[in-house]
Amino acid sequence: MNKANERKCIIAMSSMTYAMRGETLLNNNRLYTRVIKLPKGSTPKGCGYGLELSCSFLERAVQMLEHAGIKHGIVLR
Amino acid sequence: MIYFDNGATTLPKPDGVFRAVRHAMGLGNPGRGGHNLSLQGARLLYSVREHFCTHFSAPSPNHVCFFYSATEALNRVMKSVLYQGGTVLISDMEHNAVRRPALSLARRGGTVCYFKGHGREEEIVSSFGAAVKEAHRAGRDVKLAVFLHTSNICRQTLPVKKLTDLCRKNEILSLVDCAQAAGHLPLHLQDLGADGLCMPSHKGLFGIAGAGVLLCSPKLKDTLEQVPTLVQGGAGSASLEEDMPLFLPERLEAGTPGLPAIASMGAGLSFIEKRGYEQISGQLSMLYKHCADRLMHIQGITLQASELRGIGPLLFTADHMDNAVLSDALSARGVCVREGLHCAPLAHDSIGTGRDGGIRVSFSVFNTTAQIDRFVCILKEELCAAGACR
Repeated sequence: MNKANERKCIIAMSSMTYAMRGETLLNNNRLYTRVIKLPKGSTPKGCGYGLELSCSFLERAVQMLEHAGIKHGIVLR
Repeated sequence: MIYFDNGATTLPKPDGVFRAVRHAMGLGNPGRGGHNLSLQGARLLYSVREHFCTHFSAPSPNHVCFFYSATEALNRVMKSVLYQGGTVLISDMEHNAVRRPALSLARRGGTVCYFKGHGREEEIVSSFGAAVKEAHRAGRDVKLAVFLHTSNICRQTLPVKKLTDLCRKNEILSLVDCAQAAGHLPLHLQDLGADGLCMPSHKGLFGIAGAGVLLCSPKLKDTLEQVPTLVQGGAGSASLEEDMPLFLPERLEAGTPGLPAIASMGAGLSFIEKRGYEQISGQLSMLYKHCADRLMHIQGITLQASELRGIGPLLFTADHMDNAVLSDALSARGVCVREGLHCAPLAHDSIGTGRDGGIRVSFSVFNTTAQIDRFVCILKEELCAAGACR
């Protein structure tokens, strides 16, 4: 599957600082991700940010974030 | 122009600071949108946060909070920790950035206790211990101790580690005002054992005015996440919630951050790292000594608090002339020094310069001994012209 067709998942983040910390951590570990604004309605709290990444990295990414104490919210598949 | 008022704001600023401000002015509002310029702004903000975290050994970037000044940072912590009352312990050398919020808390039912913040290290530590004991004996709940790292009026550095050790032993949170120390010598939150360090952008960190930082320990972070916020507003996320976000730093950072000022601090920090603290503190000590050695031989001038040790500015008074008049005369000759109370009447009272204060000479790494020699020459001429060189 080429990169353009790769399925993307989003990890909702608790704040912009956590999103930036997460992006730095995952990119440094070659789990390529980017900070995006969450799609409308994806969080009950209103606007927020998330990490968009290939769904194939998702499990490892979540583990890595939790291990580093980086707070995150729901995962959007 | 000879600029010796670096204790108020450092001048000139390094070239990198101008570049950083210009760059930040071209970016969007950090964390306020999903478009490229907003995200670039957020990345820049985060990179400075990370830089401060590493440089000052904070536990994580979440323990680095940006405010609009160090005064605001100090106020926010003091008023948050003591929002339900209690006692705050401060030194008798504090700037109004600490004294006034402490007195304001006292007017609202809290208590302020003082300890001696000048003199020999043992005297300061012993005075601190005695103040804690006395407060406990009186049944007071001492929640927070706030003290400066380095005085803004004279050469006095407090034994911060020993004081924070006493705080921990007595379960008191400690907050250190590093306004005059940051950028002059290495400061490590964890090595100092402090719960909070506050510092402004525009002094030793060589940034522009409009930003201040709080670096906090896990314990202070937990406290600040549990108490009500003093300022509320947009935070860029969780907008439907009535309260501010639950986590630091966003919980404390309501409103648009001053990105150009924050970026300038980051560039200032890079300048400091390139120079190295050994060179910076060595040069500041050398300039102090060079100036003090010359001033002490001038008739009609008294060096104040010259017996004190540490880093910090040089303070003198004119024996037969109004300090403000002398300072004015120096200004007319192109010398910038600061006379008066330096927003620290408590400290002037403590060292004996009372209501009149003195003339402060504060250096940066851009100053030279040649400038000091010229200043000394002008000073002598002005004193004699006023008939005050007796």
